[in-house]
Amino acid sequence: MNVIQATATAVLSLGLLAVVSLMARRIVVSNAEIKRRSAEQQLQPLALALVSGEPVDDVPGDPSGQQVLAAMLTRYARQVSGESREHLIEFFEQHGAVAVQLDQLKSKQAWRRATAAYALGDMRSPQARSALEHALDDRDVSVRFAAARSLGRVGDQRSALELLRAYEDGRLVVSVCGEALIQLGVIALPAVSVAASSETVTVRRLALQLLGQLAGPSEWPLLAKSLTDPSADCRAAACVALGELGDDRATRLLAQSTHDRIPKVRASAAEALGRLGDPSQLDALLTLLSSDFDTARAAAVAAARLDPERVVQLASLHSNPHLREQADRLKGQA
Amino acid sequence: MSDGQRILLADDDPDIRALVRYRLQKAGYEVIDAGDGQTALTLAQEHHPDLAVLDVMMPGMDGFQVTAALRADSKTASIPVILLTARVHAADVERGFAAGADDYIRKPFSPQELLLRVQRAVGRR
Repeated sequence: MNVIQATATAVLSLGLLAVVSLMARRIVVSNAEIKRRSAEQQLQPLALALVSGEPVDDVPGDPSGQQVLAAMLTRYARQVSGESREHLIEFFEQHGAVAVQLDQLKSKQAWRRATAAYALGDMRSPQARSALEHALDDRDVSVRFAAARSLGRVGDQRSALELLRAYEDGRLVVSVCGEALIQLGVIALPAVSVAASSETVTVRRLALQLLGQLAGPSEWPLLAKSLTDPSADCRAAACVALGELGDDRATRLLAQSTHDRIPKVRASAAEALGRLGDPSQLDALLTLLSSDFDTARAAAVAAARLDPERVVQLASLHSNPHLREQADRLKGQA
Repeated sequence: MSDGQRILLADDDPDIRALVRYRLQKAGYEVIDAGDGQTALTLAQEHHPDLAVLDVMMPGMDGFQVTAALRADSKTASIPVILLTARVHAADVERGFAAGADDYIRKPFSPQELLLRVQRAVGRR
């Protein structure tokens, strides 16, 4: 009995201790949050003046005030562009905020390195480029991903090649690398164009996908050549990219690709023809309605883009499910 | 220059509200703001602002819906609307104009450009 009572008392005491420590922890966290909010409220006029590039002379000297101000300005930096962004970059560089994060990037704790890599992207300082490119080699995946995202925001052309290399050797996944390169924008084009001829299929495919979003008419020959790539994934990506590019010189080549031996390529070519909007391709697309499921559906979607009225009319005469689906959709929009 | 003209600002992000409000108030505008579409619509009906700057993606009513509701009410139909949006696809822009918006600004936005567009829209009234 005594043993049972003693055990119950011990369990109860431990439970109470856990509850008390959780409550204490909560109070500490709440107090810290209240202090942070109060400091933010005090510093907000200063932060807003800095965003506007107004002269200020009362930047806080204490580390905690500087930390709150830097965090607030980092948030603002995500929202603004133009002159305001330039004012903020100048502030981050001159007041040591960039230096603090570069130092944190050397921390032993991965979460600190990842947080610093992320913050450096919001600060967009060119001073961070080299360290962020180095962070693409970090042993922790979250640091590498944060560094890639930030390199896209810092916006230096040289980073495009580093990002593609990191994807090629498996340090980055396709979505993270692609997003960073899109963020870099047209300045990434030279590196992306070279990558479209890479020996690695996955790199070629990513480059072709990106060309659809970043390229101009001058990249047309590169995409046209990729329609005969040995990899079906790359041929399909080239079809989609040509559709996004919107250059009607691609129409004839895409029409040929609707007869590719791989269904995915045929479907991508049909979809791209719909985007290009040449009505003379309508009959060719309609002949694809009896092809495999994906191609037939893509052809129906493309046909509905080219001539919605005819698709509705044909759907009433034929029992093709893909035409009917598009006709129902078009009627629903009307 | 702005003669105390009144601007309605609606965005669910308090940072954006602070940034826009600061810039417009500095230029002499009176700013009333809301964190959601329904409140924005109520404020527009009560205060008859000279211009509305509306975020597109807001909880409840989005910016397109608020714009359409403003246009549907004869008391608010003439209020110029600028959409502030991260949605930059052509279809979204077209949808905004179809709902009755007069202009749109892409996020992240330049506060300087926003002020110029506000001045131009208010000046056209």
